[in-house]
Amino acid sequence: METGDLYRIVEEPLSPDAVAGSVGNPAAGGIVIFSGVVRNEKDGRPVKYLEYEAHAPMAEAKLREIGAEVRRRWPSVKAVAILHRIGRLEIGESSVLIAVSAAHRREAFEACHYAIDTLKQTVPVWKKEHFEDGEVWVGLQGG
Amino acid sequence: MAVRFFARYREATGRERLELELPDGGTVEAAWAAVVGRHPELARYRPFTLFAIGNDYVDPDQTLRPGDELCVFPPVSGGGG
Repeated sequence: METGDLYRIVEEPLSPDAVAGSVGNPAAGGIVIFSGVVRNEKDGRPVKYLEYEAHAPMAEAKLREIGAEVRRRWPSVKAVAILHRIGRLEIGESSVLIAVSAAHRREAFEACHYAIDTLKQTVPVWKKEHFEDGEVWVGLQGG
Repeated sequence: MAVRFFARYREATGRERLELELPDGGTVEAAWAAVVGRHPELARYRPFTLFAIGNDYVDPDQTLRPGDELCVFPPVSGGGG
């Protein structure tokens, strides 16, 4: 893991300012930050809140793998931070924050996009949607 | 060996762990079969299930070693809302 990189599963609210600061680098020309937030509806059904659960040690290992692959694919990337929050999250709160600094903006955008898409496929985190009249683990229909 | 359940599977079985006695040379798939023997409610999830040992995903035909802790996952669903 390179200096300045950060890969964590946390229970506390996420701070975009803090992750942007953590990837700051004098050789960077751009920082891209992605914040995934809790939406107030699912297929038109109002969502009350979400719950996230993780296998934290493995999830952090998978986040580190994503960071390593980002650095391999985009060598001009200066620093990567990926944080996923678990526990109960309210509408509008951030569940995931990804920050990438790079020499140029294109690499930062591409790396950030790759990181969130890969996270959703490989990192052992699970989301449960709570509605007025029930709750559903996301990822399987009819469960 | 031990099996750990997460998310939907933890709630479906009502437990976080299950201790299993498997014959030497047993595979991940054999462990799953033993899990389903104890918790038939999981059987229908097999096509969607992911297996992991330590910090890595493993194939169903991988041989288990004594002391392994096998994690069984439903499909992952992290990221934004």
